[in-house]
Amino acid sequence: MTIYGNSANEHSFRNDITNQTVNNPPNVKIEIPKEGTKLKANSSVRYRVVVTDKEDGSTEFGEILPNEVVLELTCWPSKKAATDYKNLTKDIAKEPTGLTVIKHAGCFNCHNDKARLTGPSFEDIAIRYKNDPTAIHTLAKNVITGSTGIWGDVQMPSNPELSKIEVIQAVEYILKQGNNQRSRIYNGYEGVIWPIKQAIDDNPCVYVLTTSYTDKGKGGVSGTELRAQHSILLN
Amino acid sequence: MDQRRRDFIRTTALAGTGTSLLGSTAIHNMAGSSIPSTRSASKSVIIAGGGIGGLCCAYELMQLGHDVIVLEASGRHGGHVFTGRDGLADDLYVDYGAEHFTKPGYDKCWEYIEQFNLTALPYPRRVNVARRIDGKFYTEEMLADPSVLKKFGFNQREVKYLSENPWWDLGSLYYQPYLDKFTNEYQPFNVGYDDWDTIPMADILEKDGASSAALNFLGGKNTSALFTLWQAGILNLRGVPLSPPDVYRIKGGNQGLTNAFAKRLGTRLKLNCPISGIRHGQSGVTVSYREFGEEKEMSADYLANCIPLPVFRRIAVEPALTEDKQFVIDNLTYGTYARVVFQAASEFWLDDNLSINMQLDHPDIWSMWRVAEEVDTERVALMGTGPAGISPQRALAGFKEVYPGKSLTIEQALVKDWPNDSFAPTCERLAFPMGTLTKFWPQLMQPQGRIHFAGSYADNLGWGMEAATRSANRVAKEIDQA
Ligand SMILES: Cc1cc2nc3c(=O)[nH]c(=O)nc-3n(C[C@H](O)[C@H](O)[C@H](O)COP(=O)(O)OP(=O)(O)OC[C@H]3O[C@@H](n4cnc5c(N)ncnc54)[C@H](O)[C@@H]3O)c2cc1C
Ligand code: HEC
Repeated sequence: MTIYGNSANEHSFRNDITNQTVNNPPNVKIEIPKEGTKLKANSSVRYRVVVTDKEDGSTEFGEILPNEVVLELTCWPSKKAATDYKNLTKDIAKEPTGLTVIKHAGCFNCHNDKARLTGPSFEDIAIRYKNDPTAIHTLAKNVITGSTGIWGDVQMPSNPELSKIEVIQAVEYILKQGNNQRSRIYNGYEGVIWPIKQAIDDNPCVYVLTTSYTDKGKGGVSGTELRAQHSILLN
Repeated sequence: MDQRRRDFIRTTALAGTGTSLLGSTAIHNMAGSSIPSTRSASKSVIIAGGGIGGLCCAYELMQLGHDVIVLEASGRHGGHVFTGRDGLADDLYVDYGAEHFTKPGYDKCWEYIEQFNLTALPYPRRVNVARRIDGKFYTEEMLADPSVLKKFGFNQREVKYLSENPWWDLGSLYYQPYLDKFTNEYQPFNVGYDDWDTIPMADILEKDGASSAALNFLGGKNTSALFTLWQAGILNLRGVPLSPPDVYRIKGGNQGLTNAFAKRLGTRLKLNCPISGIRHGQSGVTVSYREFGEEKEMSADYLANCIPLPVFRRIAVEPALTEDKQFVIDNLTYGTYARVVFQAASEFWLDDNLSINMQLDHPDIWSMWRVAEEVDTERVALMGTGPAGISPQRALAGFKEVYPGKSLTIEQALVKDWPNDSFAPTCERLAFPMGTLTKFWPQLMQPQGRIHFAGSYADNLGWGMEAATRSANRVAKEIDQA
């Protein structure tokens, strides 16, 4: 609940950020499932991620918001391809900017990557605007002003605090991710993952499940954020 | 009194068969090792979610002599029934979620109100509503004035209807001729409109001569005609108008009702116990949950899921549910919005000669009315609804922008942004997408093995407290008779 005149986020920084002189990297770990767990057709598997960060706090104590934690499940045709991807992405220092915007602006409250929530899924959006080169701008405009009647009678609230650039990055991410049939984004540090159906039919997937957390940086200063990730292979 | 005596007799009778209600023998706290009881007399039931649906279901099962445990994820019970006092002065209070009920239309809720000795107050939030349309406020009299109605573009028939009936009842003009065919409120099919699930309601309205003003007002471009008429038919069967003007609330806040259930459940209700996994089989169910950060398991004969489906999706179920059931779980959608609350130093609208019951047609704040007027203070608590993610400041700015007077004395603004609530992000179930009614109904209510489904989403009208208590009673009966 937000109280007028006291807009400080209840869950925000644990420490007095103005006095912060160093920023320690976060620690992230997929606790469940264990490496090598099998994803059976049509069944979900639980996941649980633990994040600790010296400055931001810990998921165990609710100091890090669920929306800050993102997981990606990708499907690969072989163990080698999966391992290569895992190694290749190990040291990525920055998440896609569009994803950062989406996490912080609360878009995940209403949108999922491949599943319908209050709003259409990233996949639905990507399919609908696949052949429309001007889509990015119309979509960005609709995100800023809010919209209704395009997908149904429910209203998407306006996002006047986001800049045009941020929204374009978010929309670009949505269209790209929505189109990626071999990847699925989940968010929240607890939940379930599902096997990727599309791929199972041609060729059994070897999965890489990756979770990451980007911290709030030194004293909240943009550009000083540190990111950590943890990946495991699943069958 | 009568009630208590009956409970007492039941408890002793059960004690005679060697089952105690508390410290249940049938619900085991040990990891995976339990064999659920298979006695037909007393069953052990885990209730997932302690909103009004879960609390009511547990209470009813307990009344029937079964062993129940409610596992609620958050540190409070009640879910979307949530009365708040924090941040308000002088004992003022507001309902952040469910705020009103009707009569008729809430038969189950009224039964409990009586049973628990709660006081229901008339709640005049829908009388003398001032409606802002195209930037201008209209009183109810103005909206019954044929010359005003003509200017909006209503046709002759609509003008006549609206000059004799309230503004919000326009739908009845078009729906009513179709409603007689619905005779069983749980049966939308085989009454003659099966083909209309793929036809938008707007098309039917157009065919029946609705003006474009009426089409604009009634919407329905994206909603199936069968679904719309069925929902109107249910209200019709219950004798409830489309938007009943006489509504009620519980004195002290609607949470009085969920508190009353919780009090009777005592330690059978466990808070701060989020469920993360469910295993089910022919003989019972086992749930994994966390208590104070510690992973635990609990087994029982049955599970009553009273968690809204979009949140239930985050729980792993093993073995998987059938494809038909999973479709419902994956595709049921909800609307989400925010409750906006203002506190004012006085009844400022009286100085401006206005009604505080307002439909504002502003993107940041949709409506406004008063609550808790019986509290002994000059100050007033106002409630409204706005879009998800709205800040208190922005909602207040929106209200200031359109409020048609100059005496505002608002001194505090609060917002409860439901989609941001970790465990209760949903608000109300939305219409099923066009052409999918056979997939959702009656599957939505049907059990899967030993897992049963209750909560406000699991009834014919997916509306609020009545749907939650109705479905809770249905599931209590299903499990009792299983
Ligand atoms: C703003 C607003 C206005 C409304 N106005 C009205 C109104 O005027 N009249 C009316 O009748 N209705 C109204 N409603 C609707 C009404 O509040 C709901 O339909 C009803 O309260 C839902 O009850 P429920 O028990 O089905 O679900 P919920 O209240 O959502 O309860 C589900 C419970 O499950 C818990 N839970 C979630 N995940 C887990 C987990 N993993 N493990 C354990 N527990 C979990 C949640 O914390 C929650 O307590 C309104 C709702 C909103 C949001
Ligand atoms: C409160 C729920 C909610 C939130 C929060 C939300 N959306 Fe939406 N979104 C919706 C709904 C509902 C629609 C469909 C609106 C319509 O039919 O016009 C939608 C539609 C969209 C679309 C498609 C628009 C079109 O023109 O087809 C995009 C893109 C989108 N949202 C992006 C975002 C982004 C980015 C954010 C975060 C900044 C966000 N949404 C936050 C509910 C939400």
